[in-house]
Amino acid sequence: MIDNLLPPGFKDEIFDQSSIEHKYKNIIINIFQLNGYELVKTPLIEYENSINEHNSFFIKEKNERKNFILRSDITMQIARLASARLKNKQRPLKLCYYGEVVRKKGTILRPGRQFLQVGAECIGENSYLADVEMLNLAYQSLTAVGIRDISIELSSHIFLDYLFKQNKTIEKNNLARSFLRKKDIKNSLKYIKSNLHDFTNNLLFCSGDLEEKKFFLEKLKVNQATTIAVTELLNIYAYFSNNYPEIKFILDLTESNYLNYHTGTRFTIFAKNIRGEVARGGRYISQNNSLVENSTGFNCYMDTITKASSTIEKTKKIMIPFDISVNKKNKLIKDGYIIETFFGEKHKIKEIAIIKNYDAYFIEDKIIQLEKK
Amino acid sequence: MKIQKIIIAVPRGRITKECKNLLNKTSFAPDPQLFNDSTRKLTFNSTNKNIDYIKVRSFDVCTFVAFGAAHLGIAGDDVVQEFDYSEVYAPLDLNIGHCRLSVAALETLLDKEDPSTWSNIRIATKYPNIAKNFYAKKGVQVEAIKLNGSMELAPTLSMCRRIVDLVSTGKTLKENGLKEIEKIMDVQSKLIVNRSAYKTKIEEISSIIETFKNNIP
Repeated sequence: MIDNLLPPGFKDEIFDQSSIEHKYKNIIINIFQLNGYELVKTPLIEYENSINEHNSFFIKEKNERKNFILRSDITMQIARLASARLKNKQRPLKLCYYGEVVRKKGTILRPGRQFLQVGAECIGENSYLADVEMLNLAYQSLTAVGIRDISIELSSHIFLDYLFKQNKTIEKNNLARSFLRKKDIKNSLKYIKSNLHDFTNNLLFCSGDLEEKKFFLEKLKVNQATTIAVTELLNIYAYFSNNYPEIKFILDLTESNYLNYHTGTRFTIFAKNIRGEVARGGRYISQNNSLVENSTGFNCYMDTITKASSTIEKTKKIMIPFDISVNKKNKLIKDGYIIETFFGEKHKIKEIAIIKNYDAYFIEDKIIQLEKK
Repeated sequence: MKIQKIIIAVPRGRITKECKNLLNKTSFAPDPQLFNDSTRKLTFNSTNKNIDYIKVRSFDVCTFVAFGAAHLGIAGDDVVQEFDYSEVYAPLDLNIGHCRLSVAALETLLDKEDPSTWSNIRIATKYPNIAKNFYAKKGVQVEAIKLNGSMELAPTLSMCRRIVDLVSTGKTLKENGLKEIEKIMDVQSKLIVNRSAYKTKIEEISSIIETFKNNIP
C-alpha cells in the first residue's frame, strides 16, 4: 500500500506555494477590512439542506437525524449568517471571509477539490453602487497581488431568462442554452421560436468589447426587467470607464450556468495570458427563513491567482546560531531577513546554509553572504 | 512587453486538404510544411508573425483549446459535442469536413432483433457521451466500449450490437458487413475558440474569426 497517495483532487501545498497563498490571502483580506468589510468565520461542517447539498461531501453520523456536509462554498454560509445571527444589524451588511472549501467534483480547468476561498459580500443593498464597490474591491485586491492586464466581463441572467420564458419548451430551451453558451448561433436558432430570432441575434451580437457594443444594448430593452438590467450594466461601465480607463470591459449576455445562484448583474474577471478566471461575483438573493435580501459579492480563485501573479517574491534567508541574542535576532528580522536557527555545531552552519540555498549565515557577529545556486 | 502569439490548432488526417484550401486564403497562411504528412514537426509559423499553428490529432483539438494551450482550433461538431467543454466556444461553421455521425449494426442480424424490447445496449464507439445521450432519449442505457479505431470489427467479433462512428460514403461499413441504421447528427468542421482568450484578446480573436468568415468555401 502506498501511504503517500492522496485522493484525486487533493494535494499537499509546500513551501513557496503555501507561503505565497497565505501572503496574498492576508493582503486581500486587509484590503477588504480597510474598506469596512468585517471579517467573519464560518464552520467547516453544516447540516445538509437543499441549498448546500450541491457538489458537497456528505458525512453520516450514527446518532444524528440529519446528514452533515463539508462546506463547498462559503457564500451560502454568509447568507445564512446574515439572515440569522446578524439579522438585526444595520444594512447594508458588509462582510468578508476566507477559508478552505471542499467539493465533491472538480472541473476540467480546476480539477482540485479543496481550495481556499477568499471573498466579500454586501448584503441588503439594491443599488448598482454595491456592484461598483464590489468590482472596485476586486480590482484593488487583484492588482495588489500582482495581477495585470485585467479584463472584466459583465453579464446578466435577465436577458436569457426573458428569452427562455418566451420560448417556453424546456427541452428546446436546454438545447438552445447549450448552443448559445458555445456562441453557436446557427444551431441555437434551430431551437428558438422564429419571433425571438431577432432578440437572440442581438443578444449574441452584444458579446464583445463593451465600449463598442454599448450602443446596441438599446435593442435588448424589451420589458421592464431588461430595461433595468441594461441601465445597471451601463451605469457600472460608466463609473469604471471614467475612473479606471485601463480596465477592459467585455459584455457577454449568453453566459449561463444552471447551478449559478446569481440573479442579476454578474461579473467574471480574467487577466491576459492567464488560463481561466481569477475572480467571479455578482448579484444574488440572500434568502433564509422569511428574510429575503438583495445582495452582491465576489470571491477570488486563489489557486489561479497564486500561479499567475507577476509579483516576484523577494525573500532573504539567513541561518543563525542558536545562542544569538534576541536583540540581534530582531535586528535581522527588521532588516528584512527570514531567520532560521541552526541547532548543530557552529562550524557546520555554513555547510547547512549552502545546502539549503540560503542567502547568508551569521557567525561571530557578522553576516556572511552566500552565492545562491 | 513580449506579445504572446496566437496559436491555432489544426487537425491532422481526414480534412487536411480542405483545411489547406481554407487557411491558404487567409492573411495568416501556415508554413506549407503543416500539410506535409511526412514531417514530424508539430509547430509551424505562418505568414503573420503573431500567429502560429500546431498540428494535433483531430480528437485532441478541442482539449488543446479548452486548456488554453491553443487559442483557436478547427474541430468537428462531433468532437465539440462529445467533450462539451465549458471553456470552448464554437462560433463559426466552416463548411468543410462534412460527414455524419451514425449508428451501424451487422446487416445479417438486423432481421432477427427487436430493439424496442431493449433496456440496455452495448456499443463500441469513440463517442461514449454522444451515444449515451442519444440512447437515453429512447430510454435505453448504453454500455459503451471505448475504441479509437477499427470500430467495424467490434460487432463482427461479438463485442457489441452497435457501433457509433463517423460515416462519409458508407464504403467501410459495407465492406465489413455493417449497415448504417440511424443518423445521430450531421457533422462539419467548426472554428472553436478558448473562452478566456475570447475575453482577453478580443480584438485579435474577432479579427481572425472575421477572416475565416470571409473565406468560408
